[in-house]
Amino acid sequence: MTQRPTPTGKEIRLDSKKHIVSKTDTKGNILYANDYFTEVSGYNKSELIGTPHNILRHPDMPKAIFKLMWDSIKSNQNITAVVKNLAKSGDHYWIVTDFDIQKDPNTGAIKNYIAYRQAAPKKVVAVIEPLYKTLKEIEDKHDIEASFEYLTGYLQEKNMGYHQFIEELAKPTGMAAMFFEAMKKLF
Amino acid sequence: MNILRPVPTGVEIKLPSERLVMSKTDATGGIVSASQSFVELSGYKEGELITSSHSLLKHPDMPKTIFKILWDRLNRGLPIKLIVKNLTKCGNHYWAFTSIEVKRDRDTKEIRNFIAYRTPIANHVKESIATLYRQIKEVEEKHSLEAGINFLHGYLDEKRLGYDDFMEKMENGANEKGFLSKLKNIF
Repeated sequence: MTQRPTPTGKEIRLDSKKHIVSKTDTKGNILYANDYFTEVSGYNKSELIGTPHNILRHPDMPKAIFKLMWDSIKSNQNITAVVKNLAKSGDHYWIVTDFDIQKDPNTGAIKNYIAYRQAAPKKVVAVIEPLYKTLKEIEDKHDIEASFEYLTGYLQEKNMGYHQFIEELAKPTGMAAMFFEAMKKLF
Repeated sequence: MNILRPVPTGVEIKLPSERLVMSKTDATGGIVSASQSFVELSGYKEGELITSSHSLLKHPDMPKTIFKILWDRLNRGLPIKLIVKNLTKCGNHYWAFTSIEVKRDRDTKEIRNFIAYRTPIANHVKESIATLYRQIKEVEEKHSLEAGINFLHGYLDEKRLGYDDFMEKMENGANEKGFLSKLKNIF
């Protein structure tokens, strides 16, 4: 079993322009990690290689979210998910993930997942943190099925899937959105 | 396989840019001929080079991964480009962008020779490649050659480039430093 550090409760501030990138096999074992990954997580590359990605799993994270994520990418569907990760020091950082799914060109079977992660915007964390806390509480008192049901109900009320819900939350608003759109047109 | 190589001095020498730095080997990597500038650069006498294995020039900093990719490609009769750190007779080294062509027997179509042409590389390309090679080498040493190959593929996947595209980019690397590319990185 993976020995994980004890959480300190301290948040690591991420550079919003940088991506934390890793590539794993279908079981989640790390094959590659980029420089920013090692910088933020505090693990060096040799420590990470061959290790299951859940070495970074923060105990505050509800299992339901990982189930949702794995179910999605295993069925060849990219998913935008918000995750609280645990660094080697015990500090944590909030990220939004995005996946590339690599398949064997001959058999079509999934071979690898490449995950790109960026700093989760504050306003996203503000909504997600209490939601995850509730899910985690339900899991601790009942089980993952109950928390999954709660999540489904929560999203139904908003009339959105999880993926869409996160994208809506992360969407730039106001001046930032206008600037972003204008700049995009330049390229 | 038992080649006695010089001890590296850490001193870098420059590859001449206006001269043909060429070497030709047989199908197993034994040197058949070399241009005068290649001989001079190596520090060996021509007679010492001919019939020696080309790996006489292999610098210990070079990851095995790169040569594995090289030979997999050449044995299939396909040309390849790569960036190499070579060791001279006195232990100095030079970096070269190397382009290798495959020559086949006109009648039997069997692979006869490999011909390598070398050109100098831009400093910033050399630095980023040296860092990458150091990382691959470390992964190879702490884990395995397979882990090193996986690491390189992950590095390329992160850039969403195939090996050949990456090499092409490195070859043209000097132009990628403008304001526009920096601005693009923001998005």
